[in-house]
Amino acid sequence: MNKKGELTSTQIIILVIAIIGFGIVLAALFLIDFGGYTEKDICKLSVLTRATSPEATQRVIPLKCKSSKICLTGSFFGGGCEEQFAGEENIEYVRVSGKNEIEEVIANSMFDCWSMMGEGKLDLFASVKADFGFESIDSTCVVCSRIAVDNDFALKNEVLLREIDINEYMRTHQIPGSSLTYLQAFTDRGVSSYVKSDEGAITKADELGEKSGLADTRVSEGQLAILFMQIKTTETTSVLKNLLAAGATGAGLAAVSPIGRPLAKIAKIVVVGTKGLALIPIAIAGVGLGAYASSNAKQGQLRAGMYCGDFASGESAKKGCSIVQGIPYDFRVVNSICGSIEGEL
Amino acid sequence: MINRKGDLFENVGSTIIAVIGLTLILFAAWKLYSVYISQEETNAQRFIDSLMGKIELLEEGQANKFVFAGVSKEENKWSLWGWSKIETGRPDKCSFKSCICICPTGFRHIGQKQESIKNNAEIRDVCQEKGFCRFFDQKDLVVESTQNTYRVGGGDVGGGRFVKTGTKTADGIFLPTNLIELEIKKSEDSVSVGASQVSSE
Repeated sequence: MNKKGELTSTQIIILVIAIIGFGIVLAALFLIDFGGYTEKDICKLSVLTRATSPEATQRVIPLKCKSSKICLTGSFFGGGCEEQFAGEENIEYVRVSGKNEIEEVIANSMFDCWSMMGEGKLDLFASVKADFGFESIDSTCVVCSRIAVDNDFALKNEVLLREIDINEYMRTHQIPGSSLTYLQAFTDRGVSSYVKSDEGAITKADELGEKSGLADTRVSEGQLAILFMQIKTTETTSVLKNLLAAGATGAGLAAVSPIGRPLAKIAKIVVVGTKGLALIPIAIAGVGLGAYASSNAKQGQLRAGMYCGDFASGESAKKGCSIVQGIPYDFRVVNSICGSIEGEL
Repeated sequence: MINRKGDLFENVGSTIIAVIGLTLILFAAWKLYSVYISQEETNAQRFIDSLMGKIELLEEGQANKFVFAGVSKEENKWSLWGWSKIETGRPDKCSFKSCICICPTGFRHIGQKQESIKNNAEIRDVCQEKGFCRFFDQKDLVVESTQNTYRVGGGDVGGGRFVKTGTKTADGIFLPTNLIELEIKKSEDSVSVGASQVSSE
């Protein structure tokens, strides 16, 4: 008898295979473990996803970037920086014993930040105002890392911390796995020294710092923030001048200037009770882009790596400036440079 | 009439595959939609959870300052509000305990008098419907901002400086687009969360 309603064995097999297949796909969607990816990989992936998305959807795609929390400690058993990272998780403890190791951590953090965020060549943030003013800043930032020195270590190694010179470290040391020095990676393969500083720019930074009240800022926590900032503009030169001032203002609060400013003056700005990183010099790198290089001699040293020019990504040709720099992790300093923050602290 | 009992069974395989496929597509569409609308909500939840973590970290009698990132690209779109256990005019969510809420109340209420703003029905309703609240056993909970007021005065044309004219305390803390420092104080009976903010006369 012909039973039309009966399933053939072939049909049953196909059905079973189809259900199992879809079940596997569903399970993969829910259960996939991205543990193989580091947070930096995830951040970089989200940066690329956003940068290559249509402009209209850029705002929608979140940057999955978390600030790394690095504690520099002398302890063999981990731990430290309880004050600076109170209540926070996923702290990376790095045991250091000499200035080279500290310089390496900071230099690597800056380089990692720069490379993770696309070396400044990717258009990452929605359009912002082209004019940059100290009072009203429409730049967008990501705090890539926060670096703190354990208080016990800082107290025992005050002299060591004062001797740290990240500029020199970046000029003379190669990035692990690369033939380029850090300075060359931020600028150009041919660059091997820093440009002479411009005292005029530093004076302006001092004026801006005092006008804002930041000169009296107490950097009591001693955290260094490695910050990536991007601003879109059609007039890169004017932006660069202002960024230098604002970045130098922030950096000036914590930097032992490599350009000959008296340490005593910096100490006054940095304040009593400083520990650890508050006195560590912020890295300085030249800028390696044609439009800026032409005025490099006048602009002087930047406490940052910077790229200004056309974005490589995006639908339409847009110009902008991106900067990575180390500044005190103080909300007033960060807010003086960043109009908005993305990513997780 | 011809008995067509078998017709459905011939197509059952395709039907099931089609249903599963449609389910997956709808799921993917829902995921994309939720990413689109919920990034701020995700940030807000993360903010309030982080704030709770910091409060719980403090022992009674302790105070400390913590830095938080804003949750929105719009200035002052989200704000923090707190209600004590015995206060009236608070969201239903906070019926039995002191609570702190992060809510998308917008900018409109900055500068209003302390005694009136928190009991504003609009704030209560927004916090009830769209806010994220966390609860405390302490009897009192205060969330307020100390605002330094300024006016433009002095200086050359185009270079006028802001002159501080005073300070005032107001309910609520409006979250900026960048960073904000919150001072948290905890005692046996109370929790207070405060921030310094700027306003003009």
